[in-house]
Amino acid sequence: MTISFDLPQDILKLCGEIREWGVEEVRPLAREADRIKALPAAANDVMARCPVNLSPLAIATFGRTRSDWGDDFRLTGHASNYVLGAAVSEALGYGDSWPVAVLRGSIGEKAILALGTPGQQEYWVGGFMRGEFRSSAFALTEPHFGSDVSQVNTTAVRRGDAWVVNGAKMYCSLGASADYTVLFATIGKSLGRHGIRAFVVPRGTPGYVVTKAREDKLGLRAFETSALSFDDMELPADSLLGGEDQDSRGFYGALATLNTSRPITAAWAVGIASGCLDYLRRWVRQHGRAFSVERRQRIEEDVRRMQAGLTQARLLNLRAAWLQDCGRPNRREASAAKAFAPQVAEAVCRRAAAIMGPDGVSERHLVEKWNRDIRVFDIWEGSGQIQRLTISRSLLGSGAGRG
Amino acid sequence: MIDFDLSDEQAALCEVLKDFAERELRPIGRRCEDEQNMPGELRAKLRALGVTDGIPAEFGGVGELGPLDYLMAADGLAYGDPGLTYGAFSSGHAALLLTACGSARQRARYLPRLADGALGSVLYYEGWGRGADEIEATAAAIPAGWNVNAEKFFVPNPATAEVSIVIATDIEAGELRAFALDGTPPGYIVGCDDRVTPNSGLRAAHTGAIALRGLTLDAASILPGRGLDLARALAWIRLTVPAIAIGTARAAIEYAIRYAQERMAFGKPISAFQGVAFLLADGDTAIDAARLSLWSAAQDLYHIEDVDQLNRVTTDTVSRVCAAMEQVARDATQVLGGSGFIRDHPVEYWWRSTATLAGIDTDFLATPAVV
Repeated sequence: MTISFDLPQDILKLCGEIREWGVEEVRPLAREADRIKALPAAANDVMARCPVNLSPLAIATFGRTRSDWGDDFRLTGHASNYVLGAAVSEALGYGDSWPVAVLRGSIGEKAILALGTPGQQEYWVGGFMRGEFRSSAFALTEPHFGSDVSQVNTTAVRRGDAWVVNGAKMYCSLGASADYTVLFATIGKSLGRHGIRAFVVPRGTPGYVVTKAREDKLGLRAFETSALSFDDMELPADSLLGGEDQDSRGFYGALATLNTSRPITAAWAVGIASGCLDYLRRWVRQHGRAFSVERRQRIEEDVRRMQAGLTQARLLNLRAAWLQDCGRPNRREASAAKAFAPQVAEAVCRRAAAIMGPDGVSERHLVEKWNRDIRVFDIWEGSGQIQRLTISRSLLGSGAGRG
Repeated sequence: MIDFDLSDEQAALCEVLKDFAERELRPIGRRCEDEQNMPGELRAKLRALGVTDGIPAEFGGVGELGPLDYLMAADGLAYGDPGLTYGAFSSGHAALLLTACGSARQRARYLPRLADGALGSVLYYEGWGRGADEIEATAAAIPAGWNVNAEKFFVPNPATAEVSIVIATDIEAGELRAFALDGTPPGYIVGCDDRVTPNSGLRAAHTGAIALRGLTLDAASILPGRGLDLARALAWIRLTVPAIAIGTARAAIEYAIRYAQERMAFGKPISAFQGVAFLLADGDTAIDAARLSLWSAAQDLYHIEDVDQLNRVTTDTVSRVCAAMEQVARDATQVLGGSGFIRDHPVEYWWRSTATLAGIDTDFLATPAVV
């Protein structure tokens, strides 16, 4: 095989359809989603016309998908699922990001697949795939930590046949509304990071308290993220993922699988910025005569540079995804994608606003919104700083970056 | 003699303003932003400080002040809240222009009203990266006086200003001039009220996009101050925006520094990681550089004798400082991580404010596209 960066024709065609749908149907509702901080009223109608079933993206895992549970669909027909996932993720960000908030799955499914017994996988993930559960939440972050997950303070104490959970979580996607929540807690603070376990909590469990149903965010406001607390919440013994003999290696293994979504997230950022850049191009075509000749020239140069930056980012994303598909190690490459793409994407959105001047910071144009939306991409799923630590440790050894 | 120290009076002023910013502005700023409102009593208190409009005592104001003191004040108050500060200072710009360029009759007519609390506005910004030498608003001499056509952005108090100063090019002379107008006469059209379609930040300040279509002004409306005098007054006004950006970025980085020292990860405060610490170090350095360049530009106002050079220095200062302060505030949200993305902490608000400030008067020719 000779080196090639070309995506297959059918993927390109699919992505083209998604972008077109995104611009024509999704984008007109973007401001509404931002203002009401929820899905637009017509979300279901628009999603019904989405060119592709996006569920596999929702659970951010392509190793086992709905086809395993007897329901086949277009996105999973490919041998290269992560490449396809990255391409679709980018295309999906192009119109506006609110459709991603329609996806009711979470990385919870991924954690269950990584940690759960076959029975648990069948019940929770299979149930999700069969439509018995319509949504799931993921609760790891707590008010006092984000990047350093060894600081989990939520406790799970064995009492008879049950686990009793106490603690608080934040940034839980769909935490207020999900049919079940995958929750991380420590079964013994003295064990440190070796004491962390995952539990599945069905909706309506007594002691599961939604302290803030919708966190008030800078951007991506259509996304429901919630703050939770657990008040002597009793869980049956079998809610512990992996069962009693599960040790902490499982937890870190699960975390490692979460990293597989990094190229997908990085691709989403590139999609937002590509949409923003093309929006700028159209705006310049409409209004550009108001600029001086020198500034029109400069805009052309800037647009070219922005395009080139996004193309580089896309290649890093696709390489990381491709390595994943090949089953090869991609820790450094996935971090490179996640460190690089969001910063380029942010710079593109920022420059578009700078060129547009007063129009770039006003709600008259979505560039204002995309500048807020894009800000989170260098923060979540491993901040740019964390990615740099990962990259430098893979280059320099595990001591790199430790003070 | 080179001397980087503030005078005793300036140091004392900064102390007073810091106290005011923390006591009067910080506690209510974000609520005012959400409510898109600037309380009248706060406006009066700000006016009483005597730093927002420089109205001479003989017209009922607190007294004139120099550009350096004025810009330090904008920086100092913006540290408390950017939106309220922008609202106060942009409303005071009409008085600044009238004091600098108005006739005795115009000053006597307008300044007492402004000192008494009437809202003022200056119609200057046009977007498109334009500097003062590229203003496309036109004023044509007609028998009745002047016929003015313009499209302006970020006009303060777009529907409520009692005294407005329009900056336009006298098309016959090819020269920039200022014109005073009362209220909102026919031909004064609110194209976009920023309270209806808001900006990303600065929502407590009421601004809007205004079109002037065939607005007729009488011959006495033109301000006699022109050329270098007008250029200096406009440069002064324009430098208010980067001054407010600096104060806002200071608030953001101070908050981020405290957060980085308290937030623990991997067994130590995150400030112990260079990836975090260097963001703060770069931010602090950028603020120092921005402030010195702003103060230098303020000093230059009365040293530079060439209008083109003055415009260039002003555009460079506005553009570079605003872009740099937006980056500082952005990096402050990065230091906070997830906490930088939610409204439980004020840093996202300060970032939106610096981003909005950068949208007012930045010329992208003066800043590189960093991709």
